[in-house]
Amino acid sequence: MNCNIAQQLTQHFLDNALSQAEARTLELHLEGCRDCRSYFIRLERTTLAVESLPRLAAPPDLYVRTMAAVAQSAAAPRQPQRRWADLGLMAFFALAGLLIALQSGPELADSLADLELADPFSLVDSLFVVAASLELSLLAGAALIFAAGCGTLARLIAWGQPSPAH
Amino acid sequence: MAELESILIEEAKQDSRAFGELVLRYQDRLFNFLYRMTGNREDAQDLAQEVFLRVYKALHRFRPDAPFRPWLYKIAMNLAINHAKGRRPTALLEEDVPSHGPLASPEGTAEQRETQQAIRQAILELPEVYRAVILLRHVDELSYEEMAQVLEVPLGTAKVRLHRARSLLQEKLREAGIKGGDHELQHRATAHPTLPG
Ligand SMILES: [Zn+2]
Repeated sequence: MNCNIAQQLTQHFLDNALSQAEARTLELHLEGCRDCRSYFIRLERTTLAVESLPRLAAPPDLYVRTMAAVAQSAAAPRQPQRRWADLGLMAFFALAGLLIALQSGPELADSLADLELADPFSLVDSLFVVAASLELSLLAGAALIFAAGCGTLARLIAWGQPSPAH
Repeated sequence: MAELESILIEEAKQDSRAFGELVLRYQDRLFNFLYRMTGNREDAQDLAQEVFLRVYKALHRFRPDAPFRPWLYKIAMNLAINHAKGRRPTALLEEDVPSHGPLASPEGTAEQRETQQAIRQAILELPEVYRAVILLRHVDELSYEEMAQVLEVPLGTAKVRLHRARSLLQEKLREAGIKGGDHELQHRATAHPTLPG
């Protein structure tokens, strides 16, 4: 048996994983090989030294501090960063609603005004249509903002509750 | 033992006070492991608190049939390794103050203390993963299966790492010249009491 295998067997010996036959082979090698013998002893002594290190007890305030942190975590909403994500979403919808209202309103008015030129309707009638369509697009934008706001509010309220146990 | 533990874990999912039982059960082992990983009491305490907090937050995802110990040590090991990143190798500043309770060690001789000092320093000089493996096996007495679960590697790989870690540690102690009289070594080799066969 060469020294590499003997050193491997030494490791297995420390793992309590040697068969009787392997143990005998190792022993025979160690009797005749000074290097492996001293490796065996150094390794075993190292292991024993680690195992006999004093075990330190936790400082008393570890428990107190841990439980305080746990209680705080239990009371706090689970993922506060998602609130910010939601506020961002709300702002986005609000802005989108506003842009739609500002953009499509005058556009619709223009197109209706163009139609009016070709149409033999009275001036008062066409003005009425333009005003109605302007109001409609503003209303659509406002509705979007309102919906986004309601959705966000509902989710914020839901997240304020403690999370249900699984 | 394991049964009581899974009951505790199930209770702790509902009630943060029940979680306190788990903390009491594991705080000494966890603190000691993190102290040996970092070489520093304050760091060990901060990290232990962080480990427990992470366990608490992730508890609802924990399956009742999963082994708890490897999971706990996995979180602790990864935190300790991350903590060590970008730091210089830990210099050993403090003495092991014998603590109270059944875990405390009796006062040893000057020679024993010197050996302990050397072994603590040598452990801290190991690369973190090897440091963790040595501690998991020879201080925290995890089984090889548990060790493999902590490291998230196959059993054979875990053993190879442990062997490597022991070899490295032995080499460091040899360099440090700890307890190395060849006379003594020879004497012990010829009359070795624990080798079977
Ligand atoms: Zn040899």
